[in-house]
Amino acid sequence: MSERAGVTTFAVGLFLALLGLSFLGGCSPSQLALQADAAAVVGGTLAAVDRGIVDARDADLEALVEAARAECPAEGCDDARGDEILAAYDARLGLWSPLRACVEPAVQAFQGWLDAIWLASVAASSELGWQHVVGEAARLGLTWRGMRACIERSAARLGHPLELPDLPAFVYPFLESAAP
Amino acid sequence: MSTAAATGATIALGILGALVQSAPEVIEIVTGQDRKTLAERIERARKAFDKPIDTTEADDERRERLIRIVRGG
Repeated sequence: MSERAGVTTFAVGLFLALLGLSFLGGCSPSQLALQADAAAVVGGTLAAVDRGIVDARDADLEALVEAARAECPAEGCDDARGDEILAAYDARLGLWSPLRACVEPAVQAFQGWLDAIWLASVAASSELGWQHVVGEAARLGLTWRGMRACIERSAARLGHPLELPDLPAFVYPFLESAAP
Repeated sequence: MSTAAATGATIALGILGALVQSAPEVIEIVTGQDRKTLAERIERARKAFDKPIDTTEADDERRERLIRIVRGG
């Protein structure tokens, strides 16, 4: 397994394992605290994935700027070449946009999960609160399939084939039945 | 190393670096060494990832820099 695939699998595995852990427990304060702790680590993993994409994007775009600096003299390139360089830069920038947008659904689902944990902590009925927490955690799990496909498709457009692991097939019916 | 491979390695290393940076807090969470209330724990989770990084300002600055390079001045 390449370094790239190994790191990605590690991050995704951590994310999914903690998401799975969140289904354990109930609505007592200590069990909700476990949920909140799992959410903190899942959130940190999502943030790390976002940071990694942003850093790679910065490095990729900076390389284009440095290439232009090496090519153009101090008074600048001629107009035609300058236009070409700017167009190439904008095209490359555009290729990164879909990759960053892939994370958005997970962010919304993650916030929904946190809201559910908070509501469960103040809910009059612990059973209803717990159902809501499980439902929102399931919704976050269901975003994985779309996010994975989106990241792989976008990475391929950047000329970087990337394979992310999927959840086991038997998990999806369970998530679909639990999601709101 | 090809450009594509370099991009892939940068993504991987970026994710790994960010995970390593958050490792002490993760260990603290997993081992339960902190004494936070439930509300504090929920707030910590919320702060862990409240929104994707906004790159607008950095993007604008980089493009202006590129324009100065290709147009001169």
